[in-house]
Amino acid sequence: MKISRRLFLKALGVGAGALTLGRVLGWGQQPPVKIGLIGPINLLDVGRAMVRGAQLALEEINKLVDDKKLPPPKLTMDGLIRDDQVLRGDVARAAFEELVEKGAQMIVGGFLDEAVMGMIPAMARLKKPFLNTGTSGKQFSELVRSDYEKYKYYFRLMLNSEVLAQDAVGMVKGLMKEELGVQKVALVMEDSNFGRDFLKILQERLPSEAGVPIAKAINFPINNPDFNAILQQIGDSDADAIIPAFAFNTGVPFVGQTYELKVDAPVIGIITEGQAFEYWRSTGGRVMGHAYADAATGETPLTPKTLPFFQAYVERFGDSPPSRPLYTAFTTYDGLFIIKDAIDRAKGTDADKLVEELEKTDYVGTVGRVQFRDKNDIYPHDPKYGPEYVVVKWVLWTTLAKDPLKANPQKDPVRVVIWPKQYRLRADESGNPINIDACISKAAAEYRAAVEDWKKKNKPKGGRFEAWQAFARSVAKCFAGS
Amino acid sequence: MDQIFVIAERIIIYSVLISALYALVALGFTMIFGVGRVLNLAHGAFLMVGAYTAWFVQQYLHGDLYSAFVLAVVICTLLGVVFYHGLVRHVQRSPIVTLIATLACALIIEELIKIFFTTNTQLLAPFVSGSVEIHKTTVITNRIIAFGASWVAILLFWLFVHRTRWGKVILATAQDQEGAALVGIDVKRVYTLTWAISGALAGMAGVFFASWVKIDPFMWRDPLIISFAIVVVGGLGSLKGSIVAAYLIGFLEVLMTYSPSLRVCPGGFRCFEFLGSSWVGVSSLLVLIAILFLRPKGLFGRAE
Repeated sequence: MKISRRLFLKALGVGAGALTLGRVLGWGQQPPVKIGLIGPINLLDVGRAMVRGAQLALEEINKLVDDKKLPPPKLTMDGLIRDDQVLRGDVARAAFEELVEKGAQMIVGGFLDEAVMGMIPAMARLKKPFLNTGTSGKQFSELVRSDYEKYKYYFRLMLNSEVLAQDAVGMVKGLMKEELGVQKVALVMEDSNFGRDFLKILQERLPSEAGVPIAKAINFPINNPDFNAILQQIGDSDADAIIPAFAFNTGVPFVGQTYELKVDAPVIGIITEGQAFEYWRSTGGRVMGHAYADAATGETPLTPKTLPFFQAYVERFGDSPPSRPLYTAFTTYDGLFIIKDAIDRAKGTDADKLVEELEKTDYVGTVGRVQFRDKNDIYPHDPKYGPEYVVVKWVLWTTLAKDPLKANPQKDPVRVVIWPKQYRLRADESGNPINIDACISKAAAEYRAAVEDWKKKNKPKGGRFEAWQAFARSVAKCFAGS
Repeated sequence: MDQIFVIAERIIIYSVLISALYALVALGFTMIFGVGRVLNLAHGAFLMVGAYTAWFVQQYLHGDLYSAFVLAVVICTLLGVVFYHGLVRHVQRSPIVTLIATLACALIIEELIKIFFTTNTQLLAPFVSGSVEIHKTTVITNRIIAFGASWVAILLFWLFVHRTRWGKVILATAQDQEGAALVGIDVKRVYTLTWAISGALAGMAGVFFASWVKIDPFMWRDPLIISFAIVVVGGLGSLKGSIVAAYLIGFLEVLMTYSPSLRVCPGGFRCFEFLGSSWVGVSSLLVLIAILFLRPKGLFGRAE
């Protein structure tokens, strides 16, 4: 068949027009994949941090797709963010069902076990992958192990309570006992799923594995704001340190009362709300010297991605609480990149294929290198734990200001990783890590000597409290490089 | 044996301290019910407004707790008057409507505080920092100040009611509103005064309560439950009853903190604890239910 020049030009014109129109109308482009988010987004800073972490991740991912550095599709959460009202399993389940109905191919989020427990049956029934970025209850991964086909859609970026407790045992042995000279500890745990799990594990393992006996163990109700009597009992027990485990918002009065009573036992443990930068202001600087478990701190360059994310977060959200990323911001941010990776490798959003690809995840995020545990592992689909993967960071609140109560809450407080040793780091002006292990070890040795001196003087009240405050100030100097 | 004496000493000291605060918390609630027969479910929210006023002065105006305290009392006094004239006066004929309206106001105040101050828990800097030793018991100094100030407020209130003309007018109105009106007492002015006093007492209690523990948008619930329990146990409208009930409830709460708990695991499924620190909040409600069954008019209440 002979094609005339006129016909050729017509065909070319129609083709070009169709291509242009198609581009304008979105023909031939993949629609963005819908991802849902469920968390305590209205009531708690950890929830707000989740949304902000997700927002930054989505913008970065979609820009990379636009710049052709990542393949399509883009991801979207438009209209797919829901509040679980903190503890409400029924609300969380309804939110999960609604989001899936609206087309969400995957759900991220979750802060308390009680709410996540509500989502799990919906996840199993609707067969939509769920990436838990906030809770630590080990019962979820146990479900995956008990009935893989039904619960395989569940993944988590947080370390579970068993691993957290195991890490705490390692911290007690390495930091408390060997570096700081702690001989016995007191446990102050809230009466929640998380607190009960944590207490049980520490009671079993601290004496045998860390060689540190428990002088006093207290399980307090979650709505208890008065710790005077509890702290007095701890003082009587002669414990050398206190390990708290608080997921609810009772940390502030605890911090205030330990400061007013000048309790002679450093506090190193888990107080979830104490990870927020605003905690210094909330406690009026009385959190000085407390060290809490965390996934990351913005100022410490754990991986090459930590500082850039921290800086982007502060630049964007630094004016309103949470003005610095909380752990849920880090995990949700990493989580969306992991999801995008899995979608690209699965070449679609088929849930079973997504599960297969998520299981193959090997991603260096802001908190460490993420690989999920094998389906035959004791905790399938939880992140692998260890120095080369993800570990807990024990972060000390401190300041260079002479009087913490008069420090400027926006400028003066710093948070420094004091355990594990590999993350005793600060960043130079270009963001490169500088090791400060020797400096912190020296401060620990000075604290230990001060405590020995205090014991020889018959333990005057407040003596060890002051020695620990001096340790915290020394760590601030290490971090400032002075 | 020594240990038992030490624990007994601590239970007594801590319960004496906390009970004075509870009595102050319940005082305004009792008075409003005694005089106007109004159960003000926004009473806890009044305390919260006092607490947040003091916190705002500390955080943003950089004032000390003393000036914060004065402003909190003034704001809550005005709030009491505005609340009465703006709402309660129009609905108090219907107890159910009054209950619902005052509860709704408490929830509105909670929401407003969430919007303006977030849900974060805050600490109010104490009047005086540090702690003191009372024999073998360590007590936060601020609590002793709160205890002393609570008792001063309670005694001043008692003197006002029993030794001044206006106090007697309030008592007369509390006994018989129609009779008081017939002898020329301006009942509306009496109500205004009682709401102002109730607001002032709530403002004081709010600052002490916050400096005792913490501030958050949910802090109004505990004081309200405590006030309710104290007023029912002590006898509706009885000042003496409220103080005795405050001490009874305060003592029980501290006792629970120290009592050993009994763990029961039926069928090995889920364990429950009886007594012990988990029962601190429950104890006052159990006393309330027991009193409702055994002596519905309360320990010192008048039969209606």
